[in-house]
Amino acid sequence: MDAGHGSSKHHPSRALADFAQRRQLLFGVVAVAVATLLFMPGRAVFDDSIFGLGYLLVILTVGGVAGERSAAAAAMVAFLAWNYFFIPPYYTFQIRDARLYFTLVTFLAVGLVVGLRTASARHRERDAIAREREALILHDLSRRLLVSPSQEEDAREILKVLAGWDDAGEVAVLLADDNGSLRQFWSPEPETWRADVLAAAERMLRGLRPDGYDSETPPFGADGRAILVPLASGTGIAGAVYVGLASDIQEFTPSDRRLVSSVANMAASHLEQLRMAERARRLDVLREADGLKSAFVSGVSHELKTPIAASLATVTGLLDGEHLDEYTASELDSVVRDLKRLEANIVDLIDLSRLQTASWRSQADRFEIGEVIGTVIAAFSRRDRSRVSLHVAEDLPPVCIDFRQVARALSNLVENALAYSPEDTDVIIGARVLGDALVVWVEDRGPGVPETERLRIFEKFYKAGEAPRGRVSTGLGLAIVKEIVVGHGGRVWVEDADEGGARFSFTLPLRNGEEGCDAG
Amino acid sequence: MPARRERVLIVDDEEQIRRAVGSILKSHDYEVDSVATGRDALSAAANVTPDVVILDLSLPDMDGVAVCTELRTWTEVPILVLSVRGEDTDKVSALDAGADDYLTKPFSASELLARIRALLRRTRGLPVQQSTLVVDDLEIDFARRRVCKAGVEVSLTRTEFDVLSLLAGNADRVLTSHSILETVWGPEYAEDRHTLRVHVSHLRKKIESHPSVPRFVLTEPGVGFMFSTR
Repeated sequence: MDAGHGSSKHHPSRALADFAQRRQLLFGVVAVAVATLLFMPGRAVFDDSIFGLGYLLVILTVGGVAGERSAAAAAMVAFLAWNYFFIPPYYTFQIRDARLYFTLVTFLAVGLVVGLRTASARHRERDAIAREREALILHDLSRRLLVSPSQEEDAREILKVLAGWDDAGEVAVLLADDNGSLRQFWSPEPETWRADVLAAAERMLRGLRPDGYDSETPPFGADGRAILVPLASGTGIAGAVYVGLASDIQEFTPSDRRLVSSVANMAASHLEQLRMAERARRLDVLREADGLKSAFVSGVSHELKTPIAASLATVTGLLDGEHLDEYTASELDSVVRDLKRLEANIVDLIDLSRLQTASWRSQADRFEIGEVIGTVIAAFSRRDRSRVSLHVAEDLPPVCIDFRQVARALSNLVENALAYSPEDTDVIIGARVLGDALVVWVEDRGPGVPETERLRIFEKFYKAGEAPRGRVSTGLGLAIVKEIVVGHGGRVWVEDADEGGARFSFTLPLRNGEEGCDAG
Repeated sequence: MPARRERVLIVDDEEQIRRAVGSILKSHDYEVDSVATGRDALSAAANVTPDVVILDLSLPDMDGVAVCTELRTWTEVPILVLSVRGEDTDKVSALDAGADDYLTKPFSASELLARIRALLRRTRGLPVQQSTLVVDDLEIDFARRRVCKAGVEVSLTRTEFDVLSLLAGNADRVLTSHSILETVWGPEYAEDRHTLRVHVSHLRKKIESHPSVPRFVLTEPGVGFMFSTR
């Protein structure tokens, strides 16, 4: 009877389990039958009670070899066979001597107890052997994983360990890569493409079913001929381990499954370690690249700025001296202006490049925004300063910021406001609390920013409209503002001021306990 | 007989900067020596006894801060540090190591000359501090320890006045928190930046026009404070 191809009403695995049970019973029956045949010639020679002892020996052996079911079956059949074949009258279940009833019932009880006890002893022994085997295999695996440098090597070590196990036929390790597709490692290489294994592993990986099965396909490996377990760690499923049954073995036992699960768990935690190490290594590489970029930028910055600094010092020195005719003086003045503009542009480019490296981490500390505003305003000329009016609320809470960066952002906004509005109008700098953030704004009475440009104006190299006379814009000023504000966890936008003109606003979060700032 | 011309020692590894600064100073009647390394700077400082040292912090052979420290072991010559924007820690260490002032590149000739004149005034025994300082509507009388804001006397605590007088006496120069704390509170308080911040905050409330946006006592992040007369 082949349950696999048998009645379609039966689930194949159920049928197989039934078959296994029946086989055990049959073994008990056959053992007693064989013993009976052997005992028959002795019937003329020995006393009939001796055969009871003989049957007990058979039950003991059957229990030790084939388990409880066989032992129980053997005890029952032996009870009947003894009565039928060896207790006169032969070939009937009748008993002449009433005392023999007692002997027979005692025999049945003793037979059952002895059979079951030897069977359970056999179980314990097998279990101990299985655990010892498990411990050895896990020890071997841990030793191998200890020196394994990569996920691929891990997969090969798992294959080696499991392929060395007698019960295993083909073994596979399936590893999920970054894209979620599976890389297969087989031992030995399968002759055909094992789509069933892959599909089950993929279902497992996608978390559809923890065991990789779905309701349509029959449980994979439930026939006891295959084991599929996930490589699961705390952070997710890294893949799966598949073990097919060796051709000379009937089926996997629960302890086999436990073994494969233990192997998979150990491997999964090592794979996890490797992934962490790999992530740390990639971060290091990124950091190093950033460091190189920063070093390059400061090198370039030095090379560019030194000649400008020297020229500026020289030209201003010439301007300082006497005997300059008006024409020369005005030409030198424009050289000075150009040099200053060139320097500012280089600073813009370098700053933007620095802000965009991941290594830029603000040197945050707790400041009052008023201190920043004060320092920013102080850098402008007295004439410019006279146009600035303040709408800064009193007693604003301190913010955790990189002072220089925020000052730079604010300075860019104030500079724009001064340049893009008529000289006889005010520029307003304001600050207040709005929800859990501080809002800082700079408002002018200039032409404002058309709605269509309000987003693009913060892009690099984007220039809105005509630059005011005597001003060359790199189109980087507002991009720098945005980088700085976003780097502080805030946002920046432009809108129409209530009385006309543009109002640029940015927010700075007021949360406590950021890195670099104490909560106080 | 004309007064001895003041000698300036320029220490910078960039030939362009040495030449530019040198020509500005020469045209203003200073005598100029220039060297490119820290070691040369130390021996030149001993040999030519300059009146001012202009020191770039990035030198090929030794750290500019170390040059400051070394010079301060035997001479009080004023040191003007040239720094590049963004290199604050160097600047602070240099100031704490005994440098007197700093100038950020690029600078104009007039800025450079103003700083040098200020440094020379101090060492030539000229009155470093006027008896009073008036900036906008703020009047500080150093001798009488009185401060008037818009014509009304402001009452400052002893410590507040000490801080203000130290800053205003070095007007337009950044003083490091370290040096302010050391001078006003004593060396054992030199790292107590929080105390300084609290006093500066109180001081600002009393002398500034806008209570939260300082115009006089400005914050120099990571360095210290500056009294601005600009």
